[in-house]
Amino acid sequence: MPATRRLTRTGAVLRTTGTGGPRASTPRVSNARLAMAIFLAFESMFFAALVAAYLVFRLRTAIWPPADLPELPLVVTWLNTGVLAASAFTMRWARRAQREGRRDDLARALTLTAVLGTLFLAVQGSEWVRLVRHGLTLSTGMYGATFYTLIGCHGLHVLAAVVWLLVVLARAQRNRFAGAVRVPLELCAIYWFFVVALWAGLFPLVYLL
Amino acid sequence: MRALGMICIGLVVAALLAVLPAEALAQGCAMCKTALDGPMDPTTEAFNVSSLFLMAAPYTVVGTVGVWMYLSARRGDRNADQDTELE
Repeated sequence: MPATRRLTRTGAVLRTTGTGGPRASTPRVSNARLAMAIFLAFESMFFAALVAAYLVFRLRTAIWPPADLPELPLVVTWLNTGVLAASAFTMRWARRAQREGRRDDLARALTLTAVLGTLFLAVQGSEWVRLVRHGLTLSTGMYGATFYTLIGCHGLHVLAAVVWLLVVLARAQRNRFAGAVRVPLELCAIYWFFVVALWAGLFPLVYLL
Repeated sequence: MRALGMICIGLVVAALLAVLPAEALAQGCAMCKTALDGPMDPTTEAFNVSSLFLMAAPYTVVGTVGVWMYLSARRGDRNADQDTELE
């Protein structure tokens, strides 16, 4: 009996043969998801190395920050953390809108997420300018070097996520159907959640510890 | 059979190579050993915490990715089952 192929509700291709029952020919975990998981594992180890270096310098120093250097801005950073956390919710909204085929909501949610990400970066940038004016630079010492390296690397990742998001948004607006951006949006959302979760670890470590 | 023998010889050679230079590697980190071999001071403690963190990191990352993959696969199976029932 020749094999037949049928398209199912979720888009998986079913192959029916005479000897066995229906069998999905698509992988159980999509290749895109697997690639993203491996990429994020590398990213996590990169940040783990930076955090380990930070811990060495932080824990061996009795007075942190050093007496002659400015303290990090806590209130503004708390608010900024709220902005980044809110962007995770708007990203969830975007994914739901895409799944339900609501194209207008998808564009709205993606735009809002991009705005929140950009706002986070803008506030971080303005705080950095203020800190540099107060004398905290990359070459000030271990305090400045570890702070700018760790938080700067996270900022670069947020910037990359915002650029990626804008590309997905442009594709979503170009296509008539929300389903056309399913995989790019899913990968972008995973990366966005990673960046937000990373900040949830870095913020207490660098600002509160 | 011959291939099995070659594999066994290869494993023995690899094990010997792994054990033999252990002394030389330990000597290669003389500065760290001198700095960290003394009483428990903040520097020693900082290095210990950092080492523990770095040791735990790969297990955490691989574990998280593994659980995520497992849940994704299970969700994929569930959707496939629903599709089969619909058919």
